[in-house]
Amino acid sequence: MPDKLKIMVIDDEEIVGKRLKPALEKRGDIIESFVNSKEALARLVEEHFDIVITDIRMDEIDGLEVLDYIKSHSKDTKVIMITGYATVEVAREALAKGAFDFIAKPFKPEDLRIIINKAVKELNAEQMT
Amino acid sequence: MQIICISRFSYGYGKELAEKLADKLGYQSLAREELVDKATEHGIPVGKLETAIVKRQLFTEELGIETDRFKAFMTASLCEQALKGGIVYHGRGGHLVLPGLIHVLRIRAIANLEDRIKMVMQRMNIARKQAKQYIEQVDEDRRKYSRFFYNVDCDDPSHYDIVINAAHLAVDNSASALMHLAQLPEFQLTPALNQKIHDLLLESKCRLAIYQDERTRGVKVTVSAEKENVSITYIPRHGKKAEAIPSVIERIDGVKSLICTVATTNILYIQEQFNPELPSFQHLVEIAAKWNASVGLIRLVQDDIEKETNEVISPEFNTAKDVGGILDDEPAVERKEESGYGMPETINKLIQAGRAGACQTIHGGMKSLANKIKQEQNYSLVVVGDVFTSYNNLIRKRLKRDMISTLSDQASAPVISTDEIEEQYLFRPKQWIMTVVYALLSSLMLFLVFTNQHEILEFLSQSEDWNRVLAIIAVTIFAPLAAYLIGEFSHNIMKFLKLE
Amino acid sequence: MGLENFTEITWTMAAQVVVLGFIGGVLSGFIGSGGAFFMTPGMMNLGVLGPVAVASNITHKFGKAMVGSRRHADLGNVDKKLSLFMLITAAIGIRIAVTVMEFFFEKGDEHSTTRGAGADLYISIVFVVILSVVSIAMLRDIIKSRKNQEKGPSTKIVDFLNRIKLHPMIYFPVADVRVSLWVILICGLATGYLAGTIGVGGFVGVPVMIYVFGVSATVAAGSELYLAMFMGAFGAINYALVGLVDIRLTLLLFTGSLFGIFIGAYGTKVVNEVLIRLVTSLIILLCVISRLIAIPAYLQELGYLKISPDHNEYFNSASKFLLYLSGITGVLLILYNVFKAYFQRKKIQASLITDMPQTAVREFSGKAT
Repeated sequence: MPDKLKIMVIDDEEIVGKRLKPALEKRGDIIESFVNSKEALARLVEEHFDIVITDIRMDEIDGLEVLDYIKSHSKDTKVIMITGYATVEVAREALAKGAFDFIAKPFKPEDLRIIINKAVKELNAEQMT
Repeated sequence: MQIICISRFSYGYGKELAEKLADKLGYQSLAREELVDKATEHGIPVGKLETAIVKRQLFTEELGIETDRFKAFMTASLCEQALKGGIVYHGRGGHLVLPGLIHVLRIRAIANLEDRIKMVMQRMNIARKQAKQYIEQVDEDRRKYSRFFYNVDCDDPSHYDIVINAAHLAVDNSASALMHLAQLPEFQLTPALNQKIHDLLLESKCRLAIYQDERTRGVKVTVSAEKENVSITYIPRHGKKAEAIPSVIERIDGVKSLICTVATTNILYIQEQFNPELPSFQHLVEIAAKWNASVGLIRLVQDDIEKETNEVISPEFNTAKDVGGILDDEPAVERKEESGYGMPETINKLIQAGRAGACQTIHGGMKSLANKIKQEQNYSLVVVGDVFTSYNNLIRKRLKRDMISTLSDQASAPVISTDEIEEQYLFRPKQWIMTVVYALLSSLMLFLVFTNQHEILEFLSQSEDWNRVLAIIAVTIFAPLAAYLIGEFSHNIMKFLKLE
Repeated sequence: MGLENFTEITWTMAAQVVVLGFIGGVLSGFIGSGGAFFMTPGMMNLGVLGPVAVASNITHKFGKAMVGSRRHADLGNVDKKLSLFMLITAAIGIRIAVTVMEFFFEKGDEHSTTRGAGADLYISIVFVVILSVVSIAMLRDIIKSRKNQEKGPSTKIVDFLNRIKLHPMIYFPVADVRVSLWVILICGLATGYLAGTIGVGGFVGVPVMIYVFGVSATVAAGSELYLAMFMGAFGAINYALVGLVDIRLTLLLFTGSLFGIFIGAYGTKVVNEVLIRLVTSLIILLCVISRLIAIPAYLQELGYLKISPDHNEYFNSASKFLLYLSGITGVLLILYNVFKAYFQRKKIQASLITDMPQTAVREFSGKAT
């Protein structure tokens, strides 16, 4: 596993990506943020990402569809759901469909970092076996 | 109007049932999800609250306030809709945010686990194992949620009027059965309950306004409203910010008067007739001052009197909105009678003492009172005054005793009768004597122990088996005894210094 | 065993024990549990043998808990099942603690000049190790929570144990957690051992329930209180059996602590929560340092440290000074806040009466619809 992670952030509110990007880049990971989930999916076809962080409620293609796509194309990508408007029930649905974890808005980058670290641990463990 | 609350599982058939039932009755159906969406739009972080609960994150004071804000939002939305017409709410906790509305028809809809799993597999397009896990997880979340939010076990059937099982019963037939149930007199709106809905709406609006407004954000308040009279209590810690409360409430329509009190805790005073001149009331005010507490009043109306009062209210209720010149007098008179029973005078006295809390009238006797006390756990003392006045002396005493013990089971605070106040909580000559007695006994004990040091220590460190056992017994008896004597003495002294 | 375990109590010493009791009482009322972390070393500084100080303190705690439990018999936040499960091994832990203590007391000072130095050293070391961990963890928690308010207690250990799922798992309805029986038994053992050795079971029991079992803070505190009652009783019985309880000290402690506890409890109502935790952790830290200073004297007495015995007096005085400094500062801080609130309370009342017509009661005439 390379030291640098490739992380994608998808949220239809521009501010989310803008704020998360510098906070997550601190550790040296490569962050790409998308406002439009369609564009994000196109990018996912091109390249493999280690972690995708996506909002659940979005226009056009919502977070659950993004999750479905990722799970059917690159199984080892970890998906973390952001629930802004959505309730825990939807988050649970995402978990049932293979998402790694969820976090509720408003949150601090540090809280997200904890979840990412957990995901990285699991990624490492999976590579070992 | 009529309110029906269906508590349902996710992917049960509750939603379908609610919609069918609403259709049959011509009511509006209202899903929890819709309310949550609206609440989130209002800036209440519902997702955050839920996540904090299911992930067992630390619940800060801020989140506690958001919880109350969300509850207020639910109450306000449901009451608002209910005043427009009948509603069928489906989701969790509906009836729990509508305290005191005894006509709410509370339904629990359950379904076969197997059916639910199938439905989830189909709708979410996932494997059986995941679907089962999902259902178990969501049910668990829901249990945690209702325990945390309402301190209620949502699976306990005693919280519902009826549990309906979809395993065998078709949705349409369930809806028909429930429609008939809804026709029963128990679930009809009475004028008193209509007033209660208005009160609840106003009260929740005030809570929302206070939590929402920049000036008063972060102040935890207890609000109660009765007939456009609002009373608000807050804790001294929030004193500075709370000063803006009157100007926030000012903007809400329908508030006629506001009583704002700082209090660290609340005392509840239950009476049928209030009289500020009673010595027991004076004692109560004295304790309240000592504890820095507010005194909330509840006027209890017994079952058999209830009908009568309802009839009294009804003309006022019907004419309150657009009165012609002639009708004006009558409701005014009735209003005075209704809110009478010494309550205004008593409240005035309490305001003068800076101790006024909420005042409410509770109909339906014991049952509603017990419910009310169970719902609001923020009292530190419940005082029962003269109740059951329509009975003769002996029966009255017995009924009152029963009532105190019933309430004690429900309340987290001690429940006492007015005659006990003086003895238990105030410092009186009798207590002086007891203090002196405790002081003497404690000193005597100290004296005896220290004059017989050697004997005692020898006794305690003997090595024969039997004496060992005796030493143990002596220590286990003596230690609590000493603690009791000295403890009572110091407790009395602290009581005297009003440092409890 | 004879009378040589018990020191002679002079008037000044009696007064000092009462003061220790008072400070310990204020602190325990303020923190909600404990107080032993102050009283035990305090008595040791006064020349009481360590094991006797521990034993008398446990007896004191037991008596207090018996009376206290009568007052708040049914706190809603008690998971009795959890407490009882922990009690199974906590009792064994206490028994072990007493036996180890006895061993050090009898054998620990073979080449010592002073009686009980071995046991004193053992108690001091356990005290320093455990309480420094506790106080540093508390301080870290405060700093963390300042920076990041929304994060809950770390669930690392809970998550880890949940993944392992060491059977049999037991469900606790009030606390709403599922914990492996083995984990509970081990934690109970540790709690009991520490309660029996230095009398501070609560400092370990509560964090264990929160961080290892995943219980919420309120339920943890309530259940600990319940557990402490039984542990106190069991500890008192065990120490009485060995003949180490000095009932005179227990009595003097009561005289001070039962007054203190009311003031401390009042303090929690008027002092801000972060300050409560900050004061607590700093006091504990100072107590640890105070005990640390006393250790060289014990080492000298046991012959492990070659220094002049004349210095022991200095070590003891410094240790005593620091202990009193921390306790008295803490208590003064609490008392200051209590009295400030006490007098302010009268003021608020007065201003409400005069201001009432203008601010508190408003008639919104014309607004009513």
